[in-house]
Parts: sequence; structure tokens; C-alpha cells
Amino acid sequence: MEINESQINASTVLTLTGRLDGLASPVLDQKVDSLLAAGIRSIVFDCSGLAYASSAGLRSFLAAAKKLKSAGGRASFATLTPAVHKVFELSGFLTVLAIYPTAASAANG
Amino acid sequence: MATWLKPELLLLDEHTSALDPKSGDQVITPSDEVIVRDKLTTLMVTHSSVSDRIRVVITDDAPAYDPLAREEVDTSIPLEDRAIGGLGVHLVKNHMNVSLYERIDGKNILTIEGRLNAIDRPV
Repeated sequence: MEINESQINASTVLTLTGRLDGLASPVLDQKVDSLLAAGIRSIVFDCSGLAYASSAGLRSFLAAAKKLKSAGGRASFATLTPAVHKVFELSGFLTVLAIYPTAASAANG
Repeated sequence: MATWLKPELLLLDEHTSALDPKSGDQVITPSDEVIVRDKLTTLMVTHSSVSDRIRVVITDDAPAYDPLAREEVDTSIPLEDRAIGGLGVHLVKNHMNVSLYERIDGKNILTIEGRLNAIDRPV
């Protein structure tokens, strides 16, 4: 999986491309931890290129959202692909996480 | 055959995947006999597809452990109260047509089966 970092206003956007599985999720965890350590408090996960998210990937998303919330920040999730939307739905994420149609709307949300 | 080396852990990862189901059974049966005879610690993963179904079987001879018995994840509670983890089992139990744990002859056997054309909807 590739992680590309960009900025929209005060939000850091992580654009994820490929498969977020048990191998990729520790990389995402480290990325989120480094952003938190750098003082970033708003992260948008742009999932438009994410073909697949395993339970390990869902765990990373949930952990990131909890860490950011406890630090006074927020995690947002944008442009879910149908496959990722399905596992978000099955996991109850659609009601507990902030979901947006685009990265821009997530950053401004 | 890898079992001649008497390894501490024998990983059989889709070792019958290139065979038809009948030939696959002909490999698995003698493999099992050697594994039991030599008391090898083994983790075996196989999958098969018949018609519109795909079945994955994970077998090991570790102490008895039923991963499906863990407490169900409550997907309705707020983010701050929600525990991390357990989603893999949750997805299997709610997304697959069959999820079955058995303890047979000292082995943990986890069978997961789904219909390919129904895999997008929970059952």
C-alpha cells in the first residue's frame, strides 16, 4: 500500500492506495503516530484508491480515530470505495467515524 | 518431503492448490499420517472452490482454541467506549456462509466458507 501525504487547510490528508492488510497496517500506525507526535490533530484518510481493508486495517483506522479524539483532534474518512464501505458498514464504522464524500469536504468538516 | 527434516514447525500453505480435489485429498491423507507419526507441530491452510463456493480450512495442532467463541464485538457503542480488536472474527461470523471450529484428534480445525456471488452481503 502507498501512503501519500498532502495538506488541505489545517488537515493532513493521507491518500491510501492499494491494500490495507496485516502487512500494511503497522506502516499506517507508524505514520499516524509520527503525525500525532509532530502536533497534527486533524487527519483525513482519503480511501479513494483503497481496494481492500482487512480487519487489521480496520483496527488501524479505529486506533487512529481513538488516538486523535483523545488528543483533542479528529480523524475523517473520505471517498470510500464500495469494498471498504462494505466492511465499514459491517463493522459499525459508518455510525462512529466521520465519513465524507470527498477529502476536501472532510478537511472542511 | 519437508517432513524428513523433522522441523519444529511445519507450514503447509496451500500445498494442494495446484491439484484437483481428489488428488488434493490423496496428498493430504498421507501428509496427515506423517504429521501424526512424527508429532510435528503443523499449521496447514488449504482452500477449495466448488461451484460458487470457496472454502478455507486452517488446521493446527496447538492447544485447543476456538477463535469463534470470543465475545461478539458490539458495533453500536460510541468510539471512545469501543475496544480495538475482534473485528476479524466479527467479519468472518457475519460475512461468511459457514464459520465452524472443531477440535478433532488433537487438532484445531477452522473452516470458513462463502458463496462467491453472495460474499458482499451478510448472512
